[in-house]
Parts: sequence; C-alpha cells; structure tokens
Amino acid sequence: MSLSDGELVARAQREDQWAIEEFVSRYQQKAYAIAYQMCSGDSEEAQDLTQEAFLRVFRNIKKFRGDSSFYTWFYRIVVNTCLDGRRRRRRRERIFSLWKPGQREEEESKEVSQEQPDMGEDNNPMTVLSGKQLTREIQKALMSLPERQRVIFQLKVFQGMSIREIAQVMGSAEGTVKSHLFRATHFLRTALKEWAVP
Amino acid sequence: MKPCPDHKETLWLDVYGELDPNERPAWEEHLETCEGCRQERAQLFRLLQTMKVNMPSPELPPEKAEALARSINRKLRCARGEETWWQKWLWGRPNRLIPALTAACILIVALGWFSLQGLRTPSSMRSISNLKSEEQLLVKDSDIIKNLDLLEEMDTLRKLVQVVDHGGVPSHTNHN
Repeated sequence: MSLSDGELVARAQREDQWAIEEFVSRYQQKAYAIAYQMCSGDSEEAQDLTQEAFLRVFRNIKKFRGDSSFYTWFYRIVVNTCLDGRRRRRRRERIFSLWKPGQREEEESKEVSQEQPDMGEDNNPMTVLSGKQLTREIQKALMSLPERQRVIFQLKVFQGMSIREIAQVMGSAEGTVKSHLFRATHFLRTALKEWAVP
Repeated sequence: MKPCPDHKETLWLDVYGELDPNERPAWEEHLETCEGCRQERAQLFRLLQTMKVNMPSPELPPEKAEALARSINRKLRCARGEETWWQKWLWGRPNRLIPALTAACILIVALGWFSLQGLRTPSSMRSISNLKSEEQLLVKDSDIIKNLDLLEEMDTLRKLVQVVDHGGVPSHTNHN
C-alpha cells in the first residue's frame, strides 16, 4: 500500500504508528544525505541529527496545516536541525580549544579530510588517487564557503532542489538564494579551476 | 577566452537548469556566436558533474537505517509516556553509547566472576589454615612439655597412694 505524502501526514497527525514508520522509512535516506553533507562527512553526527530532525518533525506534525508542501516543511526542519547541531558543535569546540590549543586546527583538518563513500568500481590507482585528491579539494573549498552559501549550494547541486524550494526551506527570498548560489559558484569555480578544464 | 560579464547570470541559471524558457532562445542565439560563453558553460557543467560524481549522496546501510528507525520509534513512544523508567533510561542513550555500555557490563561480569573464583579457592587462605593447624599441634606439644614435671609428680603421687593402700611397702619391694 503506497499512500501519498498528504495521506501519510494526515495519519501521522493522528499518531498512527504504521504511518510514522512508513514516513521514517520513506524519508530517512534523504534526511541523512542532507545531514551527512552538512556535517562534512561525519556519519555518526549525521545519524544523530537525522534522528533529532525526525523527532522534531513528529513533535510538530500537528502544527503542519498544509500551507506549503510537506516536502519543503520537512526539509526546512532537517536543515534547521543540522544548522543548530553545527552551531552547538562549534560552541563546544570553542570551549575545549580554550585549554587545548591546536585541537581546533586538528578538528578542522579532520573535517576537511573526512572520507567520502566509495566512488565506484574503478580500481586504477591513479584514478583513485586523483579522485581522492579531488574529493579533498572539493571538501576544502566547500568548507571555506560561508555557511549559508554552502548549504544553498549543497541543496542545489547535491540534492537537486530548485531555487524556489531552497528559498522555502531556508526561509529566504528567491533573490537572496540566487545571490548566495552565484557567489558560491564563483568562489568554487575559481578554487577548483584546474578540475574544470578537460 | 572570457565569458561576457553581461551574460554571467544567464549562464549560471542555464547551468543550474533554472533559466526562464522565455529567455532561452535569445541565450542560445548568443551562445552560437560567443566562444567565451560557450567555453565557460561547458567548463562549469563539467565542474558540477565532477563534484556530483566525487561527492555522491551517502546511503545509510540497511542495518543502520533499521536501527535509526527503531531508535526514532522508541523515542517517540518514550515521549508519549508509553515506556517505563528503565526503558527510558536504557533506550534514551545515544546509539553510540550502547557499545560502551555493553563493554562496561561485560567487564563488570568478568571482574565479578574472577573475584568469585578467587574467593572459592583462596590458595593463600589455605596455607594460612595449614599453618594454624601446625601451630595448634605445636601448642599441644608445648603444653605437654610444660606439664611434664606435673605429670612426673602425678606419677610419684600415684605410687605413693599405692604404697599407702598396700600397707606402707611398695609391691615390688615385697617381692624382693
């Protein structure tokens, strides 16, 4: 039995256990993918944030009136949960770095060098090496972007959302999203120019 | 060759698939005549494609996805007050703490078992009890040694009693 999102939400609002489970299984991979990219590849943190996002969704699902699409409402919660999580983490790191100088740099370099999932079947060492190097460079360039620009770019390029959807998710005007996206594109185009040439 | 600065925004919108259909014919016409914009468009397409290939969307493995779904359901039940305090305590921990808690439990059980084994067959205790029995024997012996004089005196007394009982002469002297 495959229900539409609307029907599923209506049943979840009545605390229907089946609907809640179906909802989790339908959306958890998408939510995890966003959290993973926003956590710059920290799988554990991404799982914790995915869980937190779902809990927020179900705590607030009765407040959802259907004014916007459920899809954007849900992603808005996921993105905001991840942003809050990142903020908490940065605060923690700042406190710890007060008596552990050097740790922050280590953490930052760790963030950049987090391994991405396996890219495919290609076993050519040179391809694998250049692939890993490229992944590192992309991560490094993405981490150099201001947070909003990075999130907007990730939602556009990796999640395939439209500018209008991103605007709804981020709670910003479409013009603002466009401006952030273009700035991010300009920066990445310059930072990764060697990889754009054939 | 550089792209036209006036067409930068149009170019980016095209690359992101967001170009207004009304603007497309004019843009395509421009592309036919502008080598710089054509080149930039191709390079930007390539860069975005390379990024997508090298940063694929991660997938939760089925067992982790299942564990995550279970954990969400548990927490929701807990929030609705359908769980007891110990279930809340046990399942309320972050997932990553579960292996640590399991390891701690195994360690406690192992330590308990070893200490119980130690109490059942305490080799040191056994040697102490052996020493005690030996000491007890020595004490008994020393008692006998200490009372040897008394025993000799008692033997003399017994002989004296025999003499008195048999009329003043010890029995062996009668024989003589």
